[in-house]
Amino acid sequence: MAATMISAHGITLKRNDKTIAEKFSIDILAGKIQALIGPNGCGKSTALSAIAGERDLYAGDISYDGLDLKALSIEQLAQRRSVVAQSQRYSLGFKVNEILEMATLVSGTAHDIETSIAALDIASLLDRKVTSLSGGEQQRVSIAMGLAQGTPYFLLDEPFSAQDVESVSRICNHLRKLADSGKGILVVAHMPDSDLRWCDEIVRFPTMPN
Amino acid sequence: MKTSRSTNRRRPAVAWLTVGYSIAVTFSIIVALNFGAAHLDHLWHVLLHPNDGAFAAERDILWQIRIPRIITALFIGAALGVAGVMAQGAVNNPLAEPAILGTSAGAAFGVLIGLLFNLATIGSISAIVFGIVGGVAASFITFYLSKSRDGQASVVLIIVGIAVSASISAFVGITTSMVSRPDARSVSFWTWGSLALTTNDNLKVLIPIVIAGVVIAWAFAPRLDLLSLGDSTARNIGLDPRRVRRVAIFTLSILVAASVSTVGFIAFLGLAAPHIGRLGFGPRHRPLVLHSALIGSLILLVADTGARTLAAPQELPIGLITALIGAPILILLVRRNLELWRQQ
Repeated sequence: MAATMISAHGITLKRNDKTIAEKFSIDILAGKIQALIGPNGCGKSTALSAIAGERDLYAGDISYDGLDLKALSIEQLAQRRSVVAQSQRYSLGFKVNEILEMATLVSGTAHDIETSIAALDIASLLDRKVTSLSGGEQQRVSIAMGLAQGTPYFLLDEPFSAQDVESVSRICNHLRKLADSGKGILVVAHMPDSDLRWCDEIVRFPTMPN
Repeated sequence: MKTSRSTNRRRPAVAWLTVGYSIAVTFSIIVALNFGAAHLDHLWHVLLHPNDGAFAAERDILWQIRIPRIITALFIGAALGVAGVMAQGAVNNPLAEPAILGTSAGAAFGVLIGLLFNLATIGSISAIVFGIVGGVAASFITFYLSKSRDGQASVVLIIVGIAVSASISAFVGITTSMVSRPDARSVSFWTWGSLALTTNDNLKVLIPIVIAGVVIAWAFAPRLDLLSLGDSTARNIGLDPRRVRRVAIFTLSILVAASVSTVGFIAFLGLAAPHIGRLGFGPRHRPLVLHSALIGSLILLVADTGARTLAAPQELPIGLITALIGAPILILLVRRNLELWRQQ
């Protein structure tokens, strides 16, 4: 029986010939929130993009529900996981509601869009041009783009960096609800353990000796 | 693609703008019918009674020269406007246009090769095929040479594109200067373009090709919206940016080839029309395709009417007039809205 998880097994990652991770393993389980933590520049984001299928592995395997990542097309991957990048740039002045609709190209229902809008508190921004928003507002739109896709797995890279306390707790509550409904969630975080109590597990990213 | 839930709250204003542009095009057509090197005393008679034997000379001027030329201007203008939308959308850069990606120069070179080896004549299907091959090849060279380890950097692409265009244009210029065959056209045709020699036969080829190109562009346009979020986000959402780019480059090559192989090289329209369109109608690529076509048609028709009447019976190079009309409009509009396209 295929396991319902993203499984990264013994992955080795290199960037410009520098080894960032060696034989790193992590399982992203349905119904759980995991935080991936570690010092700045240690390669957490690189690992997340590798798990998302954005980056070639030097060694190791990644599978989605038992299927080899390499065998999945861009579209098939998008149906299984959504990614919230650390910084999303918006070059054209699309309206926020247009952006959310673009995000749901292959995955995500009207209901997913509605709940994301509520969770990110962006209902009042829907008719605004995304390029006219503040950094924090743009970040909330990016998170909403990811969550609106309604995929089984969510991979978020430092989604709270420009959010205030209230916004962080609203987003955490929503992620909790998503996990309780069976979604698997990985959050790359840059905050003390005490602020990560809402997560089910904290995974420390191994730092490579220089 | 799904349809938008609330396409545009400013819909009434946008609709009026569309109506305004359409009226302007219609008005320009009437003006263009009226003006020319020869004065037509019985314009409306020969226009409405094309089979009437009276005023045969005026009838022939209108139906054999003026009307084909007006239709050519409308279709080439639309082709270049839409080609500009494809170029800017494909590389997510406001500076991109067929002339900068190398597509125009490549198409011109392709057509010229076809002419010199007697495999094509100006305005024929085979000339367009040569143009498409040249345009696709040159765009491919630009993309290939600007590739780096981290993918495609926009600024590098533009610089490489300018260099590729300049080199190929130089080949075109040198070749046309060396041969003296009239059917290879003059250097000025390849540099500034001319609608002076278009015929009804050209239209039979031009019209279907331009319509096909615009239809592909329209069908494909929503995918370009996603490219504006960057390649990595597009992939995460489930769209292969390289595939989108290939289709866009191919479509713009068809449109540019149709244009270059009929009227030569017309600068600036591909850059200006999409920007003018975006300011009025917003960034969504599907409506932008149609509006840039309309704006391109309008500018080229006005420019061509100017080219053949301002110094009649002398012809002015049309590329100069498009630049004269388009540049101030573009500067004025962009100055008023500097947030048009954020740079990465």
